[in-house]
Amino acid sequence: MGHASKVSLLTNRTAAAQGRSRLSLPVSGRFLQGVTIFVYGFLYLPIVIVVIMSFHPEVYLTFPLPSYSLRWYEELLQDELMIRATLTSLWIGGLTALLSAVIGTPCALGLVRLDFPGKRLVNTFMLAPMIIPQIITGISLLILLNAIQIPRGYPYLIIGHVLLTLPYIVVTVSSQLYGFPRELEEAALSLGANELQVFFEVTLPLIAPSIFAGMLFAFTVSFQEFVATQMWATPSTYTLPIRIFARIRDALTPEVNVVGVLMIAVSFAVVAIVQIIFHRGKRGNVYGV
Amino acid sequence: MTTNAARPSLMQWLRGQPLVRGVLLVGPAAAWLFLFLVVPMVLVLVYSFWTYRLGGVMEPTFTLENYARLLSQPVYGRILWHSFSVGLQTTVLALLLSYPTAYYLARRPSGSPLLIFLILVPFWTSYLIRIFSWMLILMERGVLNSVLLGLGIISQPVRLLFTPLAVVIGMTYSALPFMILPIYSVIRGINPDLVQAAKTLGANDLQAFVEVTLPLSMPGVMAGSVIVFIQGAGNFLAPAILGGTGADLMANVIANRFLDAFNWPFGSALSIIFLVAMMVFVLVVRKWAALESIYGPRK
Amino acid sequence: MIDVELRSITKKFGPVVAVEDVSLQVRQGEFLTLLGPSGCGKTTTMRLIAGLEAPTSGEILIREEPVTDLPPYHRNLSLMFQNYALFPHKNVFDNIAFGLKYHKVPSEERKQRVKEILALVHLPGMESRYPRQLSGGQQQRIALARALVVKPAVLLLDEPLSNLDLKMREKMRVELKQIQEQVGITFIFVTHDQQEALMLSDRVAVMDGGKIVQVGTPREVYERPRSRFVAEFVGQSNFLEGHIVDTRSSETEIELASGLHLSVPAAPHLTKGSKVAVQVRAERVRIYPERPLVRGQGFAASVERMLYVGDTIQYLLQLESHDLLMATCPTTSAPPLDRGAAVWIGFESEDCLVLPGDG
Repeated sequence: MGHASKVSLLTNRTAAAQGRSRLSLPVSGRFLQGVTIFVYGFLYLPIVIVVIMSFHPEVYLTFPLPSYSLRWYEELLQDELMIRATLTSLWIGGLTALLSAVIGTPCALGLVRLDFPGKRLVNTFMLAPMIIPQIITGISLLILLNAIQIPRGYPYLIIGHVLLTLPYIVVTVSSQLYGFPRELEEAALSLGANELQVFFEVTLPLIAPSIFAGMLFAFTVSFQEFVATQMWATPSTYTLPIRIFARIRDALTPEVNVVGVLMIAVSFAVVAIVQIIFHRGKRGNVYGV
Repeated sequence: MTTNAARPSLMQWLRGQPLVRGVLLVGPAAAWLFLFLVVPMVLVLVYSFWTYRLGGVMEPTFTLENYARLLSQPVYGRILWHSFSVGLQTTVLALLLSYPTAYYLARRPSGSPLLIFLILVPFWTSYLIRIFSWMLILMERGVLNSVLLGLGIISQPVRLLFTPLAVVIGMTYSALPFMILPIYSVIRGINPDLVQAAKTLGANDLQAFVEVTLPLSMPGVMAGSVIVFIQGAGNFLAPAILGGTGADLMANVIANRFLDAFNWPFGSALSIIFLVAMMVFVLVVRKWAALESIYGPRK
Repeated sequence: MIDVELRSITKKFGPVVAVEDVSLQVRQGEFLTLLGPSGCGKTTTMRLIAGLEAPTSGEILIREEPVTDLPPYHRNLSLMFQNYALFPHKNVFDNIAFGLKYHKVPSEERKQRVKEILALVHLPGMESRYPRQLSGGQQQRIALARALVVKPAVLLLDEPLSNLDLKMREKMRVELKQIQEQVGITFIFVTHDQQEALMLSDRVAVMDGGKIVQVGTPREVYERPRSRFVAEFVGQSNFLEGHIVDTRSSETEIELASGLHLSVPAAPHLTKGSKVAVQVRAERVRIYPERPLVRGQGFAASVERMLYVGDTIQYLLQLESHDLLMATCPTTSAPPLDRGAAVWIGFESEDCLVLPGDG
């Protein structure tokens, strides 16, 4: 195909794209596409490498590529420390998710629906744990709990992880609450239910998806939290990320890749589940209203 | 149904008391934040004025020694400066890569939900793992060198790991989703009729972009930039894993003082200086940032 | 018996006065409509009656018992909404039975009552469906069933038909009226659609700027509007500005701004020289090919504009004095008049209403 026809194909496509889509292109569409492809490649390169290396029998990448091996998977299953750390991370993540949901959901309700002095302050500060560098959050909680003589370990982990994950719950539930059709609650009130009954029969079931999604986010954040956690854990309470970090620092063990695959799978599942929850129903709204 | 005009109940009293309801609902969360984030920071401030005795003991004697040391020894100033400059580099690089991507994703009619999904997956995957993978890629016997050697492009492995470049790569990498998502949200929320209107009034593509889309996308750019900058300057893992010795940023130095050296007063002073510098930056920029845009396009 | 009474109700939202000194009595079994443009306070008034808002001052009584401080679930009423507000996570049966549950109706009786009410709204057998499986019209009927099954004293309806397409809306209007007559419950209906208000109501309360400006039967409101606002809001009116030049026992003479003279039925409450607006309904303006022999007014005019609406034609006519009048004529087999056509228009003196100027 000649150069001229390639160019005309490009401009035709651009013109068609402009007509059909909303693209307004200060530069050629090819450039944008190119950058995007590069960015996605860049984003996924480490993930792909981790998966590949987890099946690669050698410690370092060798050519030609040998056939895959489950050697590291088997070794991981016998690694007691890693398994213990995984379990610790799992139950701390679960507990964190639960506590955050219990504390964060009423908070979201209050922030969305009520007006009280100091509300703006709370609103702003709610984002703080997400924005403040985790090292700072880590040392400050360490200092506080140490000052009141609480030994490091589980208490720090639970308190700190709830602190770090609260914003995720509050934001997720709030954003669904903003669009909540109040008429449903008003109808229920007129039919004889009092405010508490309306909350449990009407409001809660309908915001449950966002609470669930928030809990998934909280779990994920807690599960892979490292920087602040290293300030709080003791060797017997090491979470998975701390174990991984120790391994990386000491020597290169490919088992870490296997753990990596596990964590990638977890986040894939979390993101997929949340997308499904919130895109159910053509009306684009969980309420089907 | 009976009506009973004169029976007050707890529910009714609560109806008229938004303050009480506010406290009951928001109280626990606010208390949690206050007790475990705000109060500790005050303590950090207090500790920064205490004296450190060898052996890991702190004495509550007021001293300005920590701050004096901080300000007099140039190494700390250098590290602080370096942290901020690395944060800035990361922000700029991330912006250069993210803006076109976000623009592309946002302007497609479908809004590219699948592609957004594909950004969210690495976003929620453990940063530690992904940094570790960069180690695997960049090290001397790593993926990149093996491929280049195998293809004959180079004859000797290139030293990429434990260089400043590796740290920047690692940080830019982690910054991408934080920059792409807010910009995407904001651009997605721009009314396409605005661009069309500009064009019918005579603007060409570039002018329409500069006059309409670019300024309207600024809140997303600012929001992403603030987040990326703070995370970059305060980053722990990238310098720790990819930078090797001598690549320490503020976060590493602070962590070291607390975990290894047990010099809590000095570590506290470092933290305070770091925090203050950060807050000044954020407050200055706050006017233009639309931080809420990270949560999705406005409906 | 008075089912609902409002006594000097005022509602302020901060500095904004949404409802000002409203007093109203709604009789038992009545279909009363609150009619007015957006922002006139009709929805707020309804919400005050329902107990969803608390009045800043004033009292509300339902069946002669004060309810001003009571929450909605202690008031003897139900609500219907524009977007139906059916609980999406419950099926039709649970939606309708919701109120019965909180009214402590035993569960065996609930089944029976749900069945009866579904028959009343012409949707038998729908118990296990979910709202998302129903059409707009069906959803609205289920919402009605849910509101009626608890046998309230009053049903409050907040523009319930505005989300339906035109044909469904017309159908539902008729059904709504029939059901109300059948069941005998007091309906308080809120709408901005004056046609709907006239069609359905026993009485209409027209609201503007937070106040009730007129209450009356549809006929009273339409044929004897007490202010320019009401005359303009309900139906199509022409207004001719002028002032009174002569008052006699049987008629009043008015000189229009354009110089034209009109004779209208005596308006004894208005004095010579006062500014007035003469109101004539568009459908009362007749068009004749030649000078008519009518008792009322006849003027030469030319057609400025013609709008074909299907069952009617709207003409905008300009008189020699440059006054403009709108006339609505039923369509006939004759072709519509062209622009520029010279005609005569006439209207009866009795069809003129004199309203205070700037009223």
